[in-house]
Amino acid sequence: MTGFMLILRRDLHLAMRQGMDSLMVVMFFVIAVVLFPFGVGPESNILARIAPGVIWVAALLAAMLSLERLFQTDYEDGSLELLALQPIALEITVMAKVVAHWLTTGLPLIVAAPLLAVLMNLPDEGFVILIVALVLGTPTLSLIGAIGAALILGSRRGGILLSLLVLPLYIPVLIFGVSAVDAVISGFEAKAQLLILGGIFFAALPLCPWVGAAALRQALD
Amino acid sequence: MFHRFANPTRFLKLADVIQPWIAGATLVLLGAGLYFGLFASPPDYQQGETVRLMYIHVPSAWMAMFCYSALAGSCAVALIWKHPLADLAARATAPIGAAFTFLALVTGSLWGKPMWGTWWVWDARLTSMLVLLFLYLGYIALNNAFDDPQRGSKSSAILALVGFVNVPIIKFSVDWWNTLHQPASVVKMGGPSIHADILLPLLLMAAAFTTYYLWVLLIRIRTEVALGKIRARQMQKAQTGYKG
Amino acid sequence: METISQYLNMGGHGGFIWPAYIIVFVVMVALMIVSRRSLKNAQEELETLTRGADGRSPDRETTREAEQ
Repeated sequence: MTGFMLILRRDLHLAMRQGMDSLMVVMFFVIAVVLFPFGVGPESNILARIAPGVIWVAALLAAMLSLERLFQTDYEDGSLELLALQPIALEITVMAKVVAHWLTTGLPLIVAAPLLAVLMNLPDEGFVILIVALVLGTPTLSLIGAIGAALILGSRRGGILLSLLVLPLYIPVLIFGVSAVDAVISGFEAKAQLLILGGIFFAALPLCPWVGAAALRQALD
Repeated sequence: MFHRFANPTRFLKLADVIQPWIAGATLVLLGAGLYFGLFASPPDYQQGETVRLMYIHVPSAWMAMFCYSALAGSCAVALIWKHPLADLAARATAPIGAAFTFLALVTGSLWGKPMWGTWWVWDARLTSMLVLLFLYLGYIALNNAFDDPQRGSKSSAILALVGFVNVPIIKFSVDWWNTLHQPASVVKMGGPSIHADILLPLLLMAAAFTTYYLWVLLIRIRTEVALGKIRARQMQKAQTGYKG
Repeated sequence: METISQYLNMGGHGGFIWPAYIIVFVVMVALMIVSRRSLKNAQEELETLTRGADGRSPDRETTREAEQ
């Protein structure tokens, strides 16, 4: 557990010092969503109809933007090999990095989401469920993304490749995340959607660090 | 038993023997399938002549899924037992599977126009096929993204297995999503009972597509074996060159 | 003649059925041709490599072959 905290603290510290990265992700998120009213027109009922989908898709893309650097910098400067040599299991290292990624990307997105919901005319009853769905869904995005980020280490065209690998795997989270918000807005319960989102999260929680560590091992061979 | 075909030389000998048989079987099955599909079967009472699209669409879709299972299976064998041929089989299967997935989408679209009145509907099956195509393309892209082919095949093998675990989840979520957004005009394809006149060409074409897959697979594995030997030779040359 | 054009028309759906069959045929044949050509290229390259190596240092090449 101490090793976990050490890596987490180190990554957060690095992120803090660079500072801009988190901010850039949130700015991308905001700008991507703001483009939609220009694209589809400012009618508030149309915006309200597409709001959950637009916010979720933008969150997915924003979360993916910062994934490439999850292991890349450590891989290039050799600290990833040092981390692998530590007595800490590589799975724990991956887990710590995923948590750091979520804290610096997922959490800021969740904080920014209500503002975007206002801009997109999301009906009032959708706000709480949007936040709850994002809280349940974005950790899964970081978990699945960690596998992709580990797989592309040392490849050509890493960033674009990463999106091709990871986005299809994000589809279930997107579907249930959006459908939870849609259900509440149209007066239904979203219990099933939230349960499935939670189920996907709890399935990904042990599996993704395990697979991610396997991917790291073959990258370090 | 398991490692009996691990040796590429032994595999090449075996491939030489069975390849002409597979090629012959493909041509015979394809000929029979086309004859029964296009000439000797009556139009369906419900779908009319468009039922003839089923004889290429459904086998393509089957092969798309079969190839992905074969891909994932080969990747698992390659990762767990480090079986050298499994690696080559996986790499050889991916483009064939992608081609079948593409064909399933195109023929589905050409079937959809007369049946549903549009080229594309976000039908659960079509959507799942589209995602499957993305999984294939991701695998191929990752496989070719490394200077070291060993890295590429290991990385993409992990990706193929992750994708394989995800396919049922994606299928489930797309089904869920589709029932929420089901367009009213969609007619369910197929039916509870398939007539024997339809079943015969369908099975013949499916068998032909399977033997076609094996045929191309053998050719592509032989190519991979040859490419591996070329790389080994070039390494050897570089090394002997160093020593003077 | 009448029956042939009637047959090709496929009850008004010929415009969808024939292109589908043609696309499937073209893709399958193209994949086969591409696969065969790359096999041929690889085999030829391997052959020239082996022969070239044999010409320069035959004994070293054969000992290495025996080692493998």
